[in-house]
Amino acid sequence: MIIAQAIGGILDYGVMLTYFVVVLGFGLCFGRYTKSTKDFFFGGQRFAWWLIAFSCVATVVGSYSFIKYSAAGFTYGISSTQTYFNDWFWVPVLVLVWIPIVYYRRIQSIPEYMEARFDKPTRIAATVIILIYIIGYIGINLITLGKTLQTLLGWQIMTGAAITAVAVALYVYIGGQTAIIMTDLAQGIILLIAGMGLFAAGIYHFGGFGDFWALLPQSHKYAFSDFADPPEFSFIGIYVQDALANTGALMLMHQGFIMRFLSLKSVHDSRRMVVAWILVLTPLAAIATSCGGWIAKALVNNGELTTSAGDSFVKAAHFLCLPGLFGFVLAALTAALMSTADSLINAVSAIFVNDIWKPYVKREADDKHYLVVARITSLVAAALGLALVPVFMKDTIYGAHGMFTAAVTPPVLVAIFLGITWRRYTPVAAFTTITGGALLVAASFIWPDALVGPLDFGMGPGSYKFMRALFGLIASASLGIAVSLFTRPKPLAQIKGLVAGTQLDAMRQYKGAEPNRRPGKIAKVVVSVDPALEEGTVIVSRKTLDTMSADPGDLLYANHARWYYGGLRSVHVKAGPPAADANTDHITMNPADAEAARFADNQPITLEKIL
Amino acid sequence: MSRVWPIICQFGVGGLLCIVGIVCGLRGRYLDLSLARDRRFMVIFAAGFIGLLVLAAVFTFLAPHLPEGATP
Repeated sequence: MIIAQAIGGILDYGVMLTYFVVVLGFGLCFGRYTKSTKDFFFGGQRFAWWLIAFSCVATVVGSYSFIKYSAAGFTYGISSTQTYFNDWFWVPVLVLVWIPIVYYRRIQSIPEYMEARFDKPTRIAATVIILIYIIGYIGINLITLGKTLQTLLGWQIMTGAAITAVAVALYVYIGGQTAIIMTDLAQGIILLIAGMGLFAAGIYHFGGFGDFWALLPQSHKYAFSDFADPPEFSFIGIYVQDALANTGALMLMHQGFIMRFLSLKSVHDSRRMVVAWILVLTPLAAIATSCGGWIAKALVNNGELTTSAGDSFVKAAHFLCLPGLFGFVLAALTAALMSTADSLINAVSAIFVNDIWKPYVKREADDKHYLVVARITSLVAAALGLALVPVFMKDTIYGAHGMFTAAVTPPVLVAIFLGITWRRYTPVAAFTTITGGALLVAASFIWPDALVGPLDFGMGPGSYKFMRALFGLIASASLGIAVSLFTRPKPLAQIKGLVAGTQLDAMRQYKGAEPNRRPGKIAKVVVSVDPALEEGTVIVSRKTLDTMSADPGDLLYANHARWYYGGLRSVHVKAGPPAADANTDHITMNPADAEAARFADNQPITLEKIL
Repeated sequence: MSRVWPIICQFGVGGLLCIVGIVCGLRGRYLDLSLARDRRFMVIFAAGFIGLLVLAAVFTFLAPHLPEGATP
C-alpha cells in the first residue's frame, strides 16, 4: 500500500481515520442489542420514523453517488439531480400497498412474498435474480470507494475495496440491523452536513449564489437534460433506467429497504418516514452529492481549477476546504459507502437464511443456529461483492451501474408490481414474467439493435445501456399480462393480505382481531413490574385506554420517555383488561417485557396504540 | 420542446403511477378519507407533487434565463 499522489494532508487522513474508527465502534457497541435473527435482520421492529428516514437516505446515497452525480453535475449541470426527482411518484404504491402488505403479513423477504402470492418456482426464480442484483450492488459500491481511495491515496483499487469490505462486514457481523440503523443515522447526518457544507463553501467563495449561477454555462442550468440527447445522459434514458427501473427496484424489490420498513415500530410511521426521507432529506442529498461537480465547473470556468469530471468532487472539496475539513468530506465519502454496503450485506444474509438455508438445508433448527448462519453469510456476501470488483472495472461506474440495473431489475420489479396491484395476475404468469423477462433481457445483449433499437428514440447504440430497462419493463409486463389472460389466478381467499384491496385483511391477520383505527393520543405512564402477569400483555387503567382510544386486545407500543432513543428501548405489547383502579397512571407488565425494553420499575414511559 | 417533454413525461407517467397507488389504497378502504390522518397524508402528498412540479418549471423556464448576477 504505497501512498502516492495523495491529495490531502496528514491532518485530513487523521480526521478520516478517526471518523472511521468512531463509526465502527458506534456500530459495534449496538451488537449487544442483537440476540435473535429478528434483531439481526429487523432490529426488533421498534424504531421511530426519523431514524429509519435517515437510514434510508444514507443507504440511497452510496459512495458512487458523490463521484457519479458530481461527474454528471460537472458535465451536464443541475440536471444531475433529476434522478432524485423520481421517488415521490412511487410513494402511494409504497405506503398504501407495499409496506402494509409486507409488514402486516410479516413477509421477511421478496422471495417469501413470491411463494405466498404465487408459488414455489416463482420464489426460487426471484431468489436467484435478487441475490445477483444485491451482490452486484455491493461490488459497485466497493469499486467506487476503491477508485476514490486510489485518487486520494494512490492505493490499488482492489486494496481500498478490500479494506472497506472487511470493515463493513465486521460491524454487520456483530451488530446486525440495529448497528446498521444506528451507524446510518450518524453517517446520514455526516454526509448531508459535508455535502451541504461544501455547497455553502462554494457559494461563499464565489461571493453569492448569483455569481456562482452566472459562472455555469446556460446548458448546465436546466432541471432536466434534453429529452433524447446526448445518448449517455438523455432525459428519457435516465428516466426509464432510474425513475422506472431503479427507483421501482429500490422501493419494491430491494431487500435492504424491505428490512428497513420492517424495522419501523408501526406501519403508520412509514408515512412520516417516507415524507421525511423523500421530500426533505432526499433533495438535500441530491444537492450534497451533485454540488461538487457544479462548483468544480464554476471554478474551472473562473480559471481557478483544472479537473476531469470523474475527479470533480474530490478536487472541488480539496480546493475549498481547510486541512482537516477536507478529511471530514472524505469521511462523508467513506460514510456513504459503509451505509450502503452494510444494508446490502445484511440483505443478502436475510435472503440466504430465509429463502435457502431454512427451506432447503436445515428446516427446524433453533434461532441461534440461524443467527450464526446469518453472521457467516454476511462475511461471504462481502467477499462475493469484492470478487465482482475486477468485473466492474471494465466500464465507467455510471455505465456499469446503469447497465447492471437495466439488465436484472425489470422482470422481478414487474412481477412484484403486478402481484400487488392486480388480483388476476397468476402464478404461471409471475414465473413467466421473471424467467422469460430475464431471458429476453439477456437476448437484448446478443441482438441489441433488433430488440432495444426500436425503443432508443433515435439515440443509437450509445443509449442502449439505459433503454434496455424500457425494453425489459415492456417485455416483462407484456409476458405477465398475456400469460395471465390464459391461465388461472389463485382464489382470492388464498391471496388475502397479499394484494391491493385486501390490506385490511392483512391487518386482521397481523393483529388476530379486528383492527382499531380510531385516532388516539400518546399516554404517559409509569412502569410496574409484575411476574404474575402473562408475557406480552400489559394492564393499564380505563383512563389510559381512553386516552389512546384503545380497547383490551389492542396492540400497544411502550417506549422510553426520551424521544431521542428512537425506539431503541421499547417493546410491543397487547392491552389486557383494564386495571381495577380506573385512574391509575401505572402500566403493569411482565419482567421479560420490561427487560426487553430495558425498563426499570417506576420508570416513566410513553404508551401508544398501534392497532 | 426538448426541455418540455421531460416535464410532461416525468409528471405524466409519474401521475399515472400515483393514481394506481391511490386507487389501490382506496380499494378495500385501507386508505379511508373519512379518517383525518389519511386526509392529512393525501394533502401532504399532493403538496409534494405540486411542489416538485413548480421546482421543475422554475428550473426549466425561469432560472436558466436569468440575467447575470440575478438569483432564481
